[in-house]
Amino acid sequence: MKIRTFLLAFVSALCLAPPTGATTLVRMSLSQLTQASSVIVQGQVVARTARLNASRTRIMTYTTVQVEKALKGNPPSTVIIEQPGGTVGNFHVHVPGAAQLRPQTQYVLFLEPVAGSSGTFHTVGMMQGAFRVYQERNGVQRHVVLPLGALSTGTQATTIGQSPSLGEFQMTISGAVAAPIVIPAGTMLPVVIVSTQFQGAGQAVVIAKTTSDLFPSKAVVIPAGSQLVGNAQRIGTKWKIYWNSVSVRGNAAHVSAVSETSNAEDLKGQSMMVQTR
Amino acid sequence: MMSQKRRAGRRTRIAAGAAALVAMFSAALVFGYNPFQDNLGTINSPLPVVARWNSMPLAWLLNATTPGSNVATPGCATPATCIQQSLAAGFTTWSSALVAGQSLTTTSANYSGASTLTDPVFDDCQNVIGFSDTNSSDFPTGTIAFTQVATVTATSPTAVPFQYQCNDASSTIKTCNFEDCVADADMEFNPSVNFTTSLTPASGTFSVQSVATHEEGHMLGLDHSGIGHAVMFPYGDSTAAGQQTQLAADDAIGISFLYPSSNYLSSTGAISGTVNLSGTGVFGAHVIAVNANTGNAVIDGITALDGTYTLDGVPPGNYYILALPFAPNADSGVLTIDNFSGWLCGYADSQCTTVPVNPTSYTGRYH
Repeated sequence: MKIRTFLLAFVSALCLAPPTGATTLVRMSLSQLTQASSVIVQGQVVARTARLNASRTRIMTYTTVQVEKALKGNPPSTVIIEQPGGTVGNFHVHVPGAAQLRPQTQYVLFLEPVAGSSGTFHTVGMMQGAFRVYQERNGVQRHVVLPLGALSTGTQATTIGQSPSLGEFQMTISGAVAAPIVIPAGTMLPVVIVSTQFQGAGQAVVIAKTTSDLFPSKAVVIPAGSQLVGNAQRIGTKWKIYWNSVSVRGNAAHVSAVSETSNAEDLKGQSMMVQTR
Repeated sequence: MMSQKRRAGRRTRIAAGAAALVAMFSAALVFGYNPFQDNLGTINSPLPVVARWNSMPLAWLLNATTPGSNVATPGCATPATCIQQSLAAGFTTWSSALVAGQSLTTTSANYSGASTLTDPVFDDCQNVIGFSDTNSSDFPTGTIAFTQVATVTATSPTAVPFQYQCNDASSTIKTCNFEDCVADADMEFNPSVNFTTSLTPASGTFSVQSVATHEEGHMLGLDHSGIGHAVMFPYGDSTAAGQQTQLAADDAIGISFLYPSSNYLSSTGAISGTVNLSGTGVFGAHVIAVNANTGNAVIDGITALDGTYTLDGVPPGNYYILALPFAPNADSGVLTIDNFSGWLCGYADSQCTTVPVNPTSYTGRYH
């Protein structure tokens, strides 16, 4: 028997256990992967290279993907994915959980920008954000390999390993992209105020950023750095801030929350916990 | 289709080699424990070799001077000390691993001091744990913590032992007595995730010890396991059930395989046999030992060229052997399995609630 490849996406599906464990990764739903992505692409790996960083302290791997179809956002025709790990000289650096992107292979990739870097991305949720595309044997239909098998969809069934067709998967993603983001009441948002625009005496528009990755429900994620907008009113010796929206990768979601500062000092730089109603 | 016999004492690397083959060709999750491996030889004739530390104890350092407000240390007078204790408790879990009630590993780790490094350095041979990583590409959304493990490989099977140079202040020369050694391992907790040294964290907060136990498994040489209730399973959440600090049998067998005690082989068994199809041995079949009483998948491996396999480090007990074929070629898609009884397990091996009636009876097909 000629063995050229081993496809074991199904084996993790054998473990129909609830998500337990001492973990590296938060298990993310397709909705969460979609929300946390700035772009979602279907494309082919055309190049991959590993090299040292500028300070020669890390080995980083850069994978170039030729975009065949944009499923969210407006990506360039090729995207570069940056990941820690790779081989340089006699040292091999392994980073468990990183997506293994094979040359000349097609993927659907959920990507978010690398902060402080122009034009490079990483996969949301590490390997969770990389779905390999394969062609039906003796057929023309293309399917995607779910990184976690049935676990990725929470399915528990006696039939395991089923994978959706590429078309079905694209439609599911389109639905997730179009779905509004609903922040559950009671969500606690740790934020720091990054700017204020004064609108007159005792009035200001306040912009804050979340400081932690938040997973308020199985369907919602608010990545660290998401922008929260509110209107502040100075009342006596305090500021009262009425928060009204949060932007998750550019998609605005309504929030209703009120915060009150303990003093009337400059709002910028203040940290607080915002609880949605 | 399949014959099997049980015997004790024979050491092979098939289980680990199996994982290596998978890693090389598909990089997908394997079913059971999975050591880090590298290729020895050319790309056309790769020989997977298992990486392990050359000797124990593993010396680790901690940069606990700069954790942000995301690391809570309730009831603790000296936060750095409490963080260090949580990390040390994780290592103790590994050094105390029991296989069928017996200690079969020489694994150990020692705290060796404070470090001022905030970011990992892959080749300084300093194993630093930190909470202040500044590299923005290290933490995609959903990442709780990560470990980078640097390995060094001999140039050939006969070039053992070999030496390598550390990129530290004194350019230390170290010796590896195996074909593949772990040279450096650094662990970083995500500064944008909330942690606590409490073992009963609030929702949305992760236990330092729980996360560390998983990451320390990586530092010691274990990659992710595909077994859902293993510490080395990669996914979870911040619920109470996700704050595991106890090893599963898979974890204990994995660490004992990497760092076996002198009684490892005499205290465990091996299951060996041949997977045949129409009288011909099947190369690359995935073989899984399933505890017949609990339904627990205990260990796995892949058949050799002639279809033979040996699963080592198996605790005493009765087992089913599940043999699954791999794709015959690169264009084959995903194997689906019908009529499979499946298993449902909680965080502990004892919590498996579904005993497979006959897990070897199923229908599989490629798409």
